Amino acid sequence: MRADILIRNGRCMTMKDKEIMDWVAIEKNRIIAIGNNSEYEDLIGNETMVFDAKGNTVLPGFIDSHFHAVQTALNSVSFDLSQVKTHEEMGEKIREASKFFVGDYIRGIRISEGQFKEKKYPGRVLIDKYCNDVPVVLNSMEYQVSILNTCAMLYFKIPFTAEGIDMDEKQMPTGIFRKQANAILRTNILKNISKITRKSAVSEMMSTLLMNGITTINAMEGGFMYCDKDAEFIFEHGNEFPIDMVLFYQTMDIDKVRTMGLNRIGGCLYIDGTFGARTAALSFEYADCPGTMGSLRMSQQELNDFVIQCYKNNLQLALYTIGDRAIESALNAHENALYQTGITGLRHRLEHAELINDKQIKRAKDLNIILSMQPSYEVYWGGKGKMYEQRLGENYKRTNPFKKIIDKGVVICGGSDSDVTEPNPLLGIYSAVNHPVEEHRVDLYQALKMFTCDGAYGVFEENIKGTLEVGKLADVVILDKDILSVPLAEIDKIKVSITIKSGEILFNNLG
Amino acid sequence: MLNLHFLGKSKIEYNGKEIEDKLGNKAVALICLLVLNEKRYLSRDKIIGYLWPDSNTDAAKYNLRYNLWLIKKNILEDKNNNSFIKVDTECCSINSKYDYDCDINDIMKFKPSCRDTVDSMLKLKRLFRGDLLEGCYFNKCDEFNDLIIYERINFEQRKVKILQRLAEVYENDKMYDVCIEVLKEILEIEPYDEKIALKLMDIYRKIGKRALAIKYFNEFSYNLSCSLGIHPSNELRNKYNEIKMSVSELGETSNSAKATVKNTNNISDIKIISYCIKNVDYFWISDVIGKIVDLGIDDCIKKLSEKQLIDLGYIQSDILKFYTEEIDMLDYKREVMDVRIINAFVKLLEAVCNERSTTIIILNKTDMDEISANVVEYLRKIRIKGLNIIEEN
Repeated sequence: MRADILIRNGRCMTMKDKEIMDWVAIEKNRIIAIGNNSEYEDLIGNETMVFDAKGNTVLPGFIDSHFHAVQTALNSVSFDLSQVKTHEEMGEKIREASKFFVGDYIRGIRISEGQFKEKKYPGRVLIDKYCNDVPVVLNSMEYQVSILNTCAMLYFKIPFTAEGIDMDEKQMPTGIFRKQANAILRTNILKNISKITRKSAVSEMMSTLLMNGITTINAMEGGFMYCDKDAEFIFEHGNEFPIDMVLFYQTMDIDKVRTMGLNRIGGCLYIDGTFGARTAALSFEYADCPGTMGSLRMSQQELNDFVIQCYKNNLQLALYTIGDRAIESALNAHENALYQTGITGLRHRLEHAELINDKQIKRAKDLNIILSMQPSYEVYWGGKGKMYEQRLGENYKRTNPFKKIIDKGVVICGGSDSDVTEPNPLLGIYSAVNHPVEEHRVDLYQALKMFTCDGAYGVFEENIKGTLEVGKLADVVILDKDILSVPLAEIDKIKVSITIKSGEILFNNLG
Repeated sequence: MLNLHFLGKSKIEYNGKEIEDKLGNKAVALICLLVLNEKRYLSRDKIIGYLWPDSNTDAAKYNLRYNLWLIKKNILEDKNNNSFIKVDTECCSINSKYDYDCDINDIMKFKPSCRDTVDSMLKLKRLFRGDLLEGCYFNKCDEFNDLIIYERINFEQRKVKILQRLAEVYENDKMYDVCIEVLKEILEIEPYDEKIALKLMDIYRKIGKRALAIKYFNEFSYNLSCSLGIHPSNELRNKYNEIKMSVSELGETSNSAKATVKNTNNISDIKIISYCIKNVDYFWISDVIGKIVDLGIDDCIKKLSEKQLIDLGYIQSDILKFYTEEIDMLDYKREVMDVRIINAFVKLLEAVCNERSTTIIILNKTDMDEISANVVEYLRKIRIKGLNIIEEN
């Protein structure tokens, strides 16, 4: 037996029983051997490609357990307008973009009213001055507002009878859409994005994922604020891309999911909102908005009914919960469903669970619930002076308590929530070991597990992925450092040198 | 015969042939502009302002003359020798005597009336092939583009009215399946319209598709919440509760909407809808006991001891009908300790749940008295087998 690929002189962290080996051999799409010293020599043939890892870390391919694939891809071909200061500056950016325009329309994202010197959103007449021959669609930071130029107003299906269309003094639409009108318009626009555009955007995104060592994502697609066509696209075409995409359809339509033959449902199936918009459901008032505690998107009874149906249909369920009140509601529903049905083993998940408390961790453990969390949030929002503290006051010290969760025996699978944070597992690992609140920090091995074997466990793939073991898929990454020797504070500077997916070398920075 | 279609991609049919390609975009736009202003006499300058605002005066006048000629060349006089467009040195307009059909004219004429029939409404509905001048955008013609936007608003409103009227006609004719399809079409346009959602749920219930009504409410409620951060109105929620509590898939309602027994395969499920009143001690417990008594499951209640019946009778006299001895009024009126009432209540629930799966729905938990609230908490902790307590706010 000869290997197609042999990686030697590595610190191969198998992610099984903390074993570290010297080399790993791959034939076709599987790992065929792994060992120490020079026992690999018999496996080298004329055709074997041998990589010298030079003492650097070799790991199972990273699994990103919460990733909005299509929207990340589409946003990556959009213009980030968050840094412009005036309407004119924004207009010039759009004018520039229109010169190199390809595709259906120009998308500008991440604007907010407050960023402009004028302290208001620009309307269509103003945007027309910079671009009047191509449809332009601008979205606010959290997609609560859409702005169209006149060309886009005539190009897209506009929900003219819906509430939330800004009108000028002549009772003509200004091009600014909020509330119902925005929600319908956004759905209309996303629905009209062609399959070709989706395909080309997702294809372009692949290089970024492979560069970051990602070989599997849990694709959270469809549903409100997103688009069911995204989920349908991943369902139909997900296997045409080089990495594995495990589809989580963000819908409550159990029949549809069953008909599609999926064995899971949910993802961002909203039980509450976000800290940013102060809509995450808290058990206390927001520090920067007294009297506001966020709200639940479903009554307990509605949630109970839905969760029971998921149990009865043997579907793995992923619920979006951010605030502690939302987590409580989700756990109540799971306890009720378990009590009513007695069905176990479905590995239900709570996505984000940023403000989970000690009692809830214990209940999650009792229910065998997996927490799908995003450590990088702490880099973006955690610690003194950042968003968590602004919104939650002293309670910012309670967010993402990774160590407590792991110590209680609850499995955490790690994700990026891309493109909310960048799709970089090493940043997530860095964040988990350098949590701004010291008591929540986990050791490096635990952090690596979140993005490897525990990620595989989160989607029932631990028998084929997540560890370097004989017989498993050859999803392997080689880093440019020995991660165990690098100071914890510098883990975010580590880069991926090589990414192998199912035995194919898809990213190679070693030359 | 001339047929003009401006809703959706423009189509000009003359004597059975499509001629819009011969006319070109601007000529089609000119015809549409004149139709929209049929009752007005548009000056040449105004038309130029709409369609050739960035051309110099001579070029713009030439463009208008050329397009009018193009129209005249392709759309000949009718059998009464009327030309389609009336032109003079100052103005242009459609000749109202010319024999032609146009989708937007037919729609503009619509006014709901009791004479509306399925056929007449369907004919109007079919005219909506899309938006006005769909796919058209006239660069730099700001005023004309604004006019299209303005008229699209107008036609979208008319479309909703026509669909609503069609749904009414279908409902009146008891053609529920097609009525549902029309309501769904309206919801495609206005997905957050609670009145239409309510109507749809009502029709589902009427035809015995209770499960679809419940499923629809859940989706509607979730979408409303996720997209807009709001919950359904009380009216819609009440309709949902009403449908949810109705027993049969065929839409039959039970004798009591408050407590029901459902028999499936010899297993009887019980559903109790309970209410709360603020600051009235034991009200919720009393309400539940009363409804259990109403269910007619005497065998369960008879499992209680005489003393337990008396204890419960202190807060709900209906249960005393199961007390076989003569009631000692002195004993009956004597104050009973809280703990005895609660213990008796738990025994009653255990007796009921022992044989039947029981769901108690609490409708307004926030108004629950303190003693009942503590009992509910206790019940959750001790987890009586077969008992499910649901809070509905």
